[in-house]
Amino acid sequence: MILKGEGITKEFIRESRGSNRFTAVSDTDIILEAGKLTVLNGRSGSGKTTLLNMLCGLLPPTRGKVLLDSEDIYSLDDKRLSMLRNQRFGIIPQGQTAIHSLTVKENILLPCTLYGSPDSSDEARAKELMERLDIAGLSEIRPAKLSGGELRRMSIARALIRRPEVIFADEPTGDLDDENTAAVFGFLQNAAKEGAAVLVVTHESLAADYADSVLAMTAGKLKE
Amino acid sequence: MKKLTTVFGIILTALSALITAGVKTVFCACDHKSESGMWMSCHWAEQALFAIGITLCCASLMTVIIRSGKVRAGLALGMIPAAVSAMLIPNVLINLCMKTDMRCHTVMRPAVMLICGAIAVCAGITAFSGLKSKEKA
Amino acid sequence: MFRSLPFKNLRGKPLRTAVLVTLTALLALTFLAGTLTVSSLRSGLASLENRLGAEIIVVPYEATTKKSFENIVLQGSTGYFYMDKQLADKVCSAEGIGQCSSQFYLASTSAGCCSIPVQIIGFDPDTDFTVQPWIRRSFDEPLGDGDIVVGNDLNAFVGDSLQFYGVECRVAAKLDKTGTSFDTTVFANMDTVKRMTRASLDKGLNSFKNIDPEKVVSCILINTSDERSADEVLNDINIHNKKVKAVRTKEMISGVSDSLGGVSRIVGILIAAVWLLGGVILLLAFTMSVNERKKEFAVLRVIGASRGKLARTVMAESLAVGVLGSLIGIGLGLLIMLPFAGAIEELLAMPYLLPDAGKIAVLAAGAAGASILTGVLAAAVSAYRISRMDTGVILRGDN
Repeated sequence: MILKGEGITKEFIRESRGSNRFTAVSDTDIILEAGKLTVLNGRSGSGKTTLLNMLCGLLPPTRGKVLLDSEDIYSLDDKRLSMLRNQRFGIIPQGQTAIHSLTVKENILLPCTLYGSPDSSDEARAKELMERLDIAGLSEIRPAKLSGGELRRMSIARALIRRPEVIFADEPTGDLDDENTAAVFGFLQNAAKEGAAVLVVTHESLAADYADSVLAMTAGKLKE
Repeated sequence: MKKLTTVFGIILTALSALITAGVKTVFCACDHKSESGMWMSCHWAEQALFAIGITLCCASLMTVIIRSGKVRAGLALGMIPAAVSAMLIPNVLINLCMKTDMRCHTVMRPAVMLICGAIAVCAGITAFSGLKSKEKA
Repeated sequence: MFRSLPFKNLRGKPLRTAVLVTLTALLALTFLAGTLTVSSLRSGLASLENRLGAEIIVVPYEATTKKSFENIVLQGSTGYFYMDKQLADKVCSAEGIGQCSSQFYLASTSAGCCSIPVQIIGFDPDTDFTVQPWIRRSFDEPLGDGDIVVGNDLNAFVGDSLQFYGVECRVAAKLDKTGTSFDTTVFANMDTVKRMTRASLDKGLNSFKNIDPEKVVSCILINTSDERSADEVLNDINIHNKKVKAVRTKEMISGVSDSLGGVSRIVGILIAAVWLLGGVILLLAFTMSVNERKKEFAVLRVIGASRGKLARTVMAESLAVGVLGSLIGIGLGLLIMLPFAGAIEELLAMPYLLPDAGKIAVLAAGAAGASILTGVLAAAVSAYRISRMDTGVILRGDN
């Protein structure tokens, strides 16, 4: 499995009436390979998250292609692209991303329920992930009672529940202390070792220690 | 369960107060005497309902005050036949007026049926939750 | 779990859900109460038209000036008026008359049987064409002497024995509900009513001392023959007979149908106002509820929910609220409208006849459907917006 971004560019129009176009990501090539953890860092506003959103199928590029095993994912209709995200990608978005009316366990199993119902192997996987992420005791608790670190670990478990081939993590340690940060990176490194392609967008300098390659983004351009 | 019993006890008290006050005010029977100076029969139905209403008020108030679940259940169970009797008073046990387009038929009877029906249902729930609530030693 | 998400969302916000359910219930209640009222008034009017059963009614002149006839038929008050029987025979023998039958009116006193007076109408079984057709629905034999047929709103049953001015009468039949003043009327044949009248005169209970029941009637009911139009016959009677007045039944009830039009308009405006207000509040409520959960919807999109699935989640929430709310509204509506139909009839002072169970079920289903649809349409706006949102932008929102 290989995910490639070829010449992808994203332009936004800043004001509704003017022609004030702003290029967030400009003509960028990127390759994510199975078994490798790639770290993408750069200053705020450099286009990291935009690039990640384009790669994971949430934001169509203005120009260029995103190829998963040589198939352009944006040539798929919304339903098939959504299923692809559900079955082959694991995405850990920025910030708190819990569904508040569900318990921790239900949040984690949610991806398995979109196109079917969770089976015993999904339940076992959820249990295993919760144990490895040290949130097993919280499975029946609602997200409102969780700390930032616990919520983040729940979000990671949810992204990994379907054993995705590509994992995208956007600032996964943004609001965590050093101990939690190291634990999260260790976990993502493990996932890569188990065969997933992992892309981590972060400011965290510690991330480089876990990475197979480190990319830097400046003003919409990628540098190695 | 104890909280539920109390909540339903309060609802029962409110409904009982409504039926007692209501038959004398908002949904009272026809308020005039017949030309011969006699009270019309619906007046006696109203009086009987008022008396049952007072009984229901006392019983329901006790289901709120008394803490024992079993006593509450007993009181509530006793309220069910009282409420059903109240439903039977207008036009079954005591005849109402001759014309069914009169107030005792159009307002008092349906109001009594609805409120006493609700009392019987709520008393059933109170009795059930009273029996289920755990007694503290 | 995803399928149950809408319900868990609703349970998670009990206050918001309660407000939405209450609002939908109110919509359903208004729709049902409004349509049921108008429908009952319409069937009341149709029933009145039906029961009058004659094109022209001739009454003594003073009965029209004092409105006593109109009040008996439309308001259900009691009364009597008499004209010479010979006059009736003259009118009936005129040209262009198809069917012609006279009736005798008497009001009971409150003594004896009933606590308040009821209207008693005597008809001539040989010529009658207005009363017997609908008596036959409940009682398929000729009415004997001393037999009476009671209206549906009288608290008497077949086999009961009632006394009018000391004359013992047997209830032979009870009529179906008509929603009109006939519901509190007692019908008997001419002989029985005249016997009662004589008894009342003997006891000095009536004010018309100089009336001989054998020589008077109260009104004449006429259907014209094909040769002449009702208006021609009407004019003829009014020109040639000074002491009586002929009225078209259509005109008599035109006042009722005017009021019906007025009530229908008020109900229509009320329904429109509640619907508009409810619709706007539901629209705002769904928009707010979806807006405050934008990030949750973005997360659903991230884990692979298609635009359609997001929209369906929002729609399922509104559908659940709609179904629950309209069931409560319909239940409450039926609990108010059916038992208190009599009180509503009194309040409106117009012929009011509840439609049959099938029609009520249709109206209830219509009211439920309309309120569910309002909720679903209000939510559809939010559902569309949420399915078109830019996930990337929303996820960055809190950074």
